[in-house]
Amino acid sequence: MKEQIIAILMEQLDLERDDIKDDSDFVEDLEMDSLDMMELVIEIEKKLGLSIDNEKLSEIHCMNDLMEYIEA
Amino acid sequence: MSINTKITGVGSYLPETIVTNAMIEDILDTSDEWIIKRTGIRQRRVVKDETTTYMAVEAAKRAVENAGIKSENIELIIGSTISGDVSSPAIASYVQRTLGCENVAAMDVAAGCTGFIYAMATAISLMETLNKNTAVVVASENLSCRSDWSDRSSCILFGDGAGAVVIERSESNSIYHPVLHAIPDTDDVLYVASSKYAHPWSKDIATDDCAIRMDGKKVFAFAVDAVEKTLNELTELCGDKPITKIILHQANNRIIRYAATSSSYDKDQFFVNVDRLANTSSASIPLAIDEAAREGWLKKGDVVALVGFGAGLSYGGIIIEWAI
Repeated sequence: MKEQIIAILMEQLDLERDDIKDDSDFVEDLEMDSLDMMELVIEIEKKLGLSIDNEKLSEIHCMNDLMEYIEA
Repeated sequence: MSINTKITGVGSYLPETIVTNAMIEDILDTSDEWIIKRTGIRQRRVVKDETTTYMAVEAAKRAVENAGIKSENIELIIGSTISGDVSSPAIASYVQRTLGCENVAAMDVAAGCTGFIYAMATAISLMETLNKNTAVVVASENLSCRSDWSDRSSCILFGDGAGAVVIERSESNSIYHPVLHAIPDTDDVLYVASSKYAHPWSKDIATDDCAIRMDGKKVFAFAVDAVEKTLNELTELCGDKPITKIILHQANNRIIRYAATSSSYDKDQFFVNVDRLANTSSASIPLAIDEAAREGWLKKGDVVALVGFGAGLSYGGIIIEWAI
């Protein structure tokens, strides 16, 4: 699942696989803004059938946080 | 049996004053780069002396001239605005008065940025119900005066302008498959505040706030879902008659870009002028139709999906076959 999410990010942000580390900060390192985060959530929900609470987005800063939220 | 109609004229009005992102840099802590990245908007038109009514009348006049009809032949006027100069009467009534149409039905619809789609659907329905031959649908917005210019996240989004179309009965049908929807905006993610007085027997307090208020992230999520659902619905309704062009409400280029990449359509099939006009609410679709027609982007025979979304939360679409 993690690699599927990274694939979504690569396509969305036009990044290479190596650009996305587990602790890459979405805002600081990947230069994502709030609409990028919404796009990511929408794509995850659509392609992986998961539900992500928008109110929790402010607590998700990197892939580690995202995977921790999904696995919880 | 439903009647056959087509668009026979289109017109628009844009204020001359251009406000670039660089000009906003002078009054707010923002940057051209920041605005372009988040919205795709580079500049917007804003009123100087024009009113919502004036722009509506000018757009309607140009559409009538483009159709080659006389004002006195207009039998129905449907307006749309979220930024009228007055709450009542309707901008349609001012258009009637200025164009000198004596015997018309005139009213506005209030469906936020989806207003033009709702107005088109209302027009073709009323043409049939009231047995009318010629209608004008006009949308006009003065959003620069409904923007909170201290809020850098919202004021950058909006612009002013008006667009109109003339609809006439025809031998074959070129306006069809209207689809109108709305879902409850339970969190008030998008609305225009309204100023009011307080009276001695009310707990209400007076307010002069009349600005557009929105939760950008939630509106984005709603908008991309609404566009996807509406495009899918229109595609299915069109069956083996493929949609060739798509004009979405020009809210934000991020929404258009996302819609294009997540749909089965090519991005070149989507018209874009939000970079130059910003979000003009219900006026954005007729403004886009007029520009697309004048520049030759719309070609005779094109099957065009018009899709709107906005406060309500309303959304919907309609198909027009370009016949001019």
